[in-house]
Amino acid sequence: MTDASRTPLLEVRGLTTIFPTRAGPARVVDDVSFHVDEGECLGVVGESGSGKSITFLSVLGLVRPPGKVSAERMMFAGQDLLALGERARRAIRGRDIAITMQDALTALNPALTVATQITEVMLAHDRAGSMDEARAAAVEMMRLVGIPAAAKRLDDYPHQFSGGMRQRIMIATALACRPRLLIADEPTTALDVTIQAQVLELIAELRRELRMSVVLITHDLGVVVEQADRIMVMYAGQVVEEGAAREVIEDAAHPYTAGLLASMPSLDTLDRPIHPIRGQAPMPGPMPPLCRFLDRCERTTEACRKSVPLQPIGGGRASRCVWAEEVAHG
Amino acid sequence: MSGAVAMNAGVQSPLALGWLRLKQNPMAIGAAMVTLLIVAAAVLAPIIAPQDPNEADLFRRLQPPVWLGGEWAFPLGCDALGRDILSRLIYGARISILVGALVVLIASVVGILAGLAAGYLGGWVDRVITGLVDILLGFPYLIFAIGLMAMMGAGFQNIVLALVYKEWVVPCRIVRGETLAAREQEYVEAARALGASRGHVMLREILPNILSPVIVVATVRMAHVIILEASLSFLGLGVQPPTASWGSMVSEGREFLLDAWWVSTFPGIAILVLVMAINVFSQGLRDAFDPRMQE
Amino acid sequence: MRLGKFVERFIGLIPVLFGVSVIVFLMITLTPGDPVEIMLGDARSSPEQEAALRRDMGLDRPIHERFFLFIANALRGEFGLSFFHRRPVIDVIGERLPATIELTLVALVVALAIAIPLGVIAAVKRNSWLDRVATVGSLFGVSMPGFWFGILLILLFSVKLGWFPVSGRIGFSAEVRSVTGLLLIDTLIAGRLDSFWQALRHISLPALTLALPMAAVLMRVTRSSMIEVLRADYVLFAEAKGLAKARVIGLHALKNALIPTVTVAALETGSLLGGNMIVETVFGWPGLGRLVVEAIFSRNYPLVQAAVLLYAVTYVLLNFLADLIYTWLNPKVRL
Repeated sequence: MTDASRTPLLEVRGLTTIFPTRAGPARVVDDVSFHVDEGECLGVVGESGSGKSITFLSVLGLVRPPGKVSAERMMFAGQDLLALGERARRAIRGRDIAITMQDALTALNPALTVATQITEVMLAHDRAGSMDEARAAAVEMMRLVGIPAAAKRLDDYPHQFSGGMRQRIMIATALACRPRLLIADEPTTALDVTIQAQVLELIAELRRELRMSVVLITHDLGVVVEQADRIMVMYAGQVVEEGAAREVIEDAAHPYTAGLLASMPSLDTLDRPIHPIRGQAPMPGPMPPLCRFLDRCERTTEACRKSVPLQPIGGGRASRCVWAEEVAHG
Repeated sequence: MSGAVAMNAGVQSPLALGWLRLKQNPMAIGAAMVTLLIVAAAVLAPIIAPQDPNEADLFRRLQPPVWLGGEWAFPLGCDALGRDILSRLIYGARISILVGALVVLIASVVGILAGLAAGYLGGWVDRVITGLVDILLGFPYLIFAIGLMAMMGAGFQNIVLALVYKEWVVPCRIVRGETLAAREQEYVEAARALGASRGHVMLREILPNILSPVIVVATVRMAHVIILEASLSFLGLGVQPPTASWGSMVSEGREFLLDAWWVSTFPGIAILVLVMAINVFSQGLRDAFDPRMQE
Repeated sequence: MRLGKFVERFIGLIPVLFGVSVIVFLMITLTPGDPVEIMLGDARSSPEQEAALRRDMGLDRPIHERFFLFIANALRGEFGLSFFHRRPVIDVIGERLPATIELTLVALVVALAIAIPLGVIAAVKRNSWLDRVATVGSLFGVSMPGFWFGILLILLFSVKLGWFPVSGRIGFSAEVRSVTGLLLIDTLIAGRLDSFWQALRHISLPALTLALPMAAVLMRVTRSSMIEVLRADYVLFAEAKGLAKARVIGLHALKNALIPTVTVAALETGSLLGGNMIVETVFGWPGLGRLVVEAIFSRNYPLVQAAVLLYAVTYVLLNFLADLIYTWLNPKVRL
């Protein structure tokens, strides 16, 4: 505990998740390394299919067969996740590391009451001794995430709540055991614009209140701009850029990040036209040893026709582009 | 296997692709061959049956199969009247297959026409047909057939009728649903805009496009109808003696289970094998032709 | 579900029930042969006697009057005299009904008890040898004619092994006072465990025979709906909560996967009702099904008519029940 600031809460090195496809094995997550510090918010950005969700499902041990997960190192709060058995991994899930999913409508069980779905987490991890205790704690949790008349609505079914309220209930479920790390997977995508801001604000508030670390997974750079301390950008299963949030946004060191920024409408760039990135992300499958962004990039040169490693570019930042310096300052 | 299918996908029609998939399914091909074998036996019964199926000989009463001390001329043994079980099995196949095929065929024709009319014409035609369908759905199948057979009396023609009276509901419901969907499609609207008659639109435009689910279902239904016929025959409500049918053969053998298990057992196996073969084949058909079932 | 909607759907049943009774009425009326002659049989009777009987049975009236008479009587539970028993049809049926209800209920329980666990295991361990065995087993189940399966069971378990009785409901010495008419319950009420055990042994094979095709169908339904449900986000989310596997599968997945199973189960009881006739015949079970088969051969038409109507009405009501259960299980529909 004395060294908490230097030992990350979660440290992952060389994480690779492979799914078989018709064309051959697809490295959906390809040699990904990252860490999340105590109390930190890490933004993970990428298009759908970039492997960002699978990365964290891999950390949780929730990748289903035929998917195969391997890693060089996976440490959480001093525990070696790779060495733990299924039982011990399960004890960590929901108690120390929790996840919220994109759409609460599909993530909450339609056939079970909200009470069941919140209390069962606490009961499973011995955070409540009795059902009454668990129900009281559930009401408290629902109040914390801002659900009006929580006690009255405890025995309602998910479909009886509005979209925004459902999202809050899912967050309440995830936080029921006060986890040390919350993985918020696309917390705003399924919501109306007006409610998006409320939910983000709620997550920020809870992060302070419960002193937890947050991984914010999103395809929308706008979401992480305000929340994240650091940003990790993923493309086609690989990390293509990472660094302090402000620096990454101010001068992106990878053409993909730059492309995402250019395609994002925001207040301070209203005078600029929006440029969507041309082309499409590659289909999952075996990849040739080239820069994976090659055919969508505007800077492609002969030097890009090889596999490019993620290289540190100073200041705690890294980029997977041969032209990182030029992109960042050009 | 999937690679070959994928390679050809670009150049072939869905129908040809379906056939290709079907041909690559060894279970379905095996099942089809078993079915064809039984059909061939039924057709060629007078030629291949070793004995006259109805010739009784009390000296051969309950004679065991050849491997239990019987004789080669009566390989599966004889029943209580000394009739050759193998020959009766071969002739009995005619009843099962004929009833199965006729019922499904007639029911499909009636059901398709009724379904097209209900789905395409709508209005009172639809109300009358769906009303009738709902009422018929109110009867459990076997009870309905037993009730009818009780009233109409046993016999081949009556079995077919009793089963058709209810069976047409199945294709009718499918065709009605598909027709309702097809009515909104461009090709139908185009034909209508070109002034095609209602009959033309129903039979020439819609029907060919909705036929494949009907055919797939018809094969499953045939297996079902064969069991129903066997059940009616078992209860004594089927074809009348001495004509051989598998269901009545099982029934006749019940009394002799202890001394002569073969009398009931072989026709029972025959029903199981035929019905199973048809079911497996129809599963293969569905996998090959119904894209909705694929993952 | 709101009461109004319930009443509305219930009223929707009336035309169907009416149509069903028309068909049952026509079945009998259009039958060739003179019911009076059948009833009097070979007994010598004078033309006056015949005419009196004809009048009693209402056969001298026009067909539409006879139909309304039939409906009016049916609503009062009057189906005339059973030719054979010389007693009201309704009494004869009433005597045999409990045995059939008991058999059907036990078969339903057996079918669910086989189908749900097997379907769940097959889905969870997809493509394993267990899954394959279950799939082949369900193919056998739908392809096996019930009467032959029953005979095989008798041959193996009753005749060869002697584990179960060959036929009947209970031994003479074990009979108890009838309260519900369901022996499994009556024997327990009477506190006679030996009788209960006997009744259980008697019902085992017929119930299993009756249950087999239904179990096969339900197994497939459960398997495929379970496979679909296991892919759902809420199952992944439940796993992410760190719940025990048993809870994720047994509660989160199963509660949703069972919705189609239960609905199909209610619809498939039609196959149980029809199967009764076969199974009761094979096992000498003294229920309604065997009574009807006997009545057919003694040309006891009023009884056949009443029984077919009873079966059909039961079936229509069961379908209605399936609808209700679906609504109840599915909170999203329940508004």
